[in-house]
Amino acid sequence: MTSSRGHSDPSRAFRVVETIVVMAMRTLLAPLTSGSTYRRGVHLLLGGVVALPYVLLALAFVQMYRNGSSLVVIALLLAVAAVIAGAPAFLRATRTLEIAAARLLLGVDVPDVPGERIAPETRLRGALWFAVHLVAGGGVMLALLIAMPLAFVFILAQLGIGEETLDGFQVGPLDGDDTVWLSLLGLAMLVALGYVVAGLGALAAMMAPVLMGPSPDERIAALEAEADQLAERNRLARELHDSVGHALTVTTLQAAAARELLDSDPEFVRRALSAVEETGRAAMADLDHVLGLLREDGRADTAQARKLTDLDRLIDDVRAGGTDVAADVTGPVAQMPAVVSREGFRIVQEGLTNATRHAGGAPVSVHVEVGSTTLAIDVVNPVRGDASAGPGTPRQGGRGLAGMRERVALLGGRMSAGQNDGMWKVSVRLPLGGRRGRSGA
Amino acid sequence: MITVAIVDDEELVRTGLRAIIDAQPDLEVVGEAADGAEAVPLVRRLRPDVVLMDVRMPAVDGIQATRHLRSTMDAPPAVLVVTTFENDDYVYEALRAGAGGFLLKRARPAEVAEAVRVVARGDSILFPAALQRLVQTHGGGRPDRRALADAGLTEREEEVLRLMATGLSNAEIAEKLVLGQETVKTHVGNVLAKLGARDRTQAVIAAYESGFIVPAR
Repeated sequence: MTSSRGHSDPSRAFRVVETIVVMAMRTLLAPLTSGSTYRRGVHLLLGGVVALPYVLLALAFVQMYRNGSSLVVIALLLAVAAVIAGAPAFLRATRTLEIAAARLLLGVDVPDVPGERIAPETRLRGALWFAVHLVAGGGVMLALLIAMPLAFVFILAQLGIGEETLDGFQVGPLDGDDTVWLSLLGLAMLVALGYVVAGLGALAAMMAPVLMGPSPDERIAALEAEADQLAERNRLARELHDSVGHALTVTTLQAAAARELLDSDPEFVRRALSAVEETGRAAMADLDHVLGLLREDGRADTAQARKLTDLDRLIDDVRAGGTDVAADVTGPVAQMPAVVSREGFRIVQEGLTNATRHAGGAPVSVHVEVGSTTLAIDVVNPVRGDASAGPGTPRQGGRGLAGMRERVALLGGRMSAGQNDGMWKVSVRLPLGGRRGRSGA
Repeated sequence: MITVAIVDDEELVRTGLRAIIDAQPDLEVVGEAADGAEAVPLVRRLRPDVVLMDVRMPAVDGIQATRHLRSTMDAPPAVLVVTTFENDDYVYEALRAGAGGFLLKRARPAEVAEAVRVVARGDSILFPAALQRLVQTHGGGRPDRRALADAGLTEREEEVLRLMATGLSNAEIAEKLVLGQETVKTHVGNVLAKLGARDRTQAVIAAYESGFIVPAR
C-alpha cells in the first residue's frame, strides 16, 4: 500500500532497474546454466577423446623427425598412417555413431539417409563432419586441460595449499605472488570456455543435419518412395471404398426388394436373404484383406511389388493355369524407372487376370515394348459372347480398369480399353521420363 | 402401364430392381440386359418407356449405350441412370449424353418407383438438389458461357428455365407464373430448342454450366 502510487516513487524505479539487470544477467548466464551447453560440451569432448590417438601419432612423427630419421621413411610411414587413420572417417559404423551422438547430445534431428546404399558425396560430407568434430573437440579438450588445473591451482594457492608450485610462475605482469588475480584469471578462462563451448555446440547443432543428412538426390528418392507408398495406399483405400460400397448397395437393394415381396413371393425373399448373406460375407473378406495390406509396413509393400522383369514368372503362372499366352517383350526392360516398371507389371497382371476371367481359356497375347521415351503395353484377347457376364462373375473388370486408368494418368500416360472385331484390347502408353506426370497429376 | 428395361452387369442388382418395380401396379419390367452392347438391340426390340441404365459396365458402358440410344432411335426411351456412388464422373457424363435423370441403387423402393414415373413423364427434372450438387462437382471445368448468351432466350423463357431447374413440372410452373399449361409447354419447347437440348435435364445442366443459374451454396 505504501509504495504503489505516483511516477516518482523511487522504490518503483529501483524495481524496474532491478528487473532489467536480473533479466540481462539471466540472458548472459543462460549459455552457462543451460543443460544443452553441457551435453554439447560432452559431444565436443568425445571428439577430443577420439582425436587423442591422432595427436599421439602426430607426436610420434614429430619425434621421428627430431631424431633425424630419413625423410623418405617418414614420408612413406606418413602415407601408410594417413590411409589407416583416414579410413574410420569413411566407415559406415562411424557415420552411424556420429549420427546417434549428434541426435542424443546435440539435440538435433538428423534425417535418415534412405535406402541401403550411401552416395559417395554423402560419405564425404560425413567424413568432413568427423574431421571437424575431432579438430574442434581436440581444441576444446586442450583448452579445458589448461584452464581447469590453472583455476584450481590458483584457488588452492590462495588458500595456502601447494603455493610452491607457483614459484617462478609468470603470466604477463602477474607472477606467483598475485594469487588473487591469477585465480580470477583461471576462473575467467573457465567461464570463457563455457561460452566457447556453447557457441561451438550451437554451430555443431546447426551443421550436423547439413553434413550428415541425406543429399538432395537422396531426399528426392525418399520423397518418391513416400509418394509411391501413398499412391499405393490410396489405391487400396479406393478399392476398399469401391468393393464395400458396392456390396452394401447390393445388400440394401436386395433387402428393399425382399421387403416389397415379403408376402407375395417367399421364394424370392429366400434368395434375396441368401444373396445378402453371401455379399456381406464376401465384403467382410475383402475388408480383412485390404485392411491387412494397409496395416503392413508400407516399405514391405514396395519391396514386394514386382516389376516388369518378373514378367516371365507371371506369364508362366498364367500358362500353368491353362491359358495360352503369346508374349513378346522387347527393349531394355531392366533399365526403366522402378515406378513405371511396377505399374507396367501390374497392368499386364490385371490385363491377364481379366482376360482369363472373361475369355475363359481363349488365347491371350501380351505385347510389351520398352522404347526410348515410352513403355507400350498391349493385352489382347478374344471376347467370348456374354457367357462371362453370369451371376458368378464379380465386376472386378470394370473396377480394375478404372483403377488402372487413374494410375496411368498419375504417371502421365494414356490408356484405352475396348472391344473391336470380337477382340478385347487394353492398350497403355507410359512415359519413361518418370516424375513429369506425377507433378502434373 | 409404364414399361421398363433394366441394364446392369450384376444379376443381384437386376433382380432387386426388377422385384421393386414389378411390385408397383403401374410399372412393369419387360426385359433385362447385362451390358450396354446387349441393351441396344433389346431396347430396339421391346421399345420400353424407361431404361434403367448402370453406368460402369464392361465392354460398352452406360454412357455409350445412352448416347447411342438417344441419337439413333426416332422415339428413344427415357434413360434413368442407376449408380452406386452419387459423386461419379460417369453419371455426369451419362446425363450430358442424354440420360433423363439419375438414381442411387440404394434408394428406397418408393423413390425408385417415383423416379421411373418422373422420367417417363419427362415434364420435370429428377432430384433437382442432387443434380445441382453433381453439376457443382463435375461441371466447373467446362464453362460454356456463350451457349446461353447466344441462345437469345426471352425474359419469360429465362424465368421458365429457372423454375425448371428447381424441379417444377409444367403444371406447377403454369400455376406459379399464372399462365396456361399449354403456354408453359410452348416456352419449355422453345427453351429446349434454343439451347439445343434434348430434354429438361440437359437444358438445366446447360443453365448451370453457363453460369446462367448460380448454384446456391
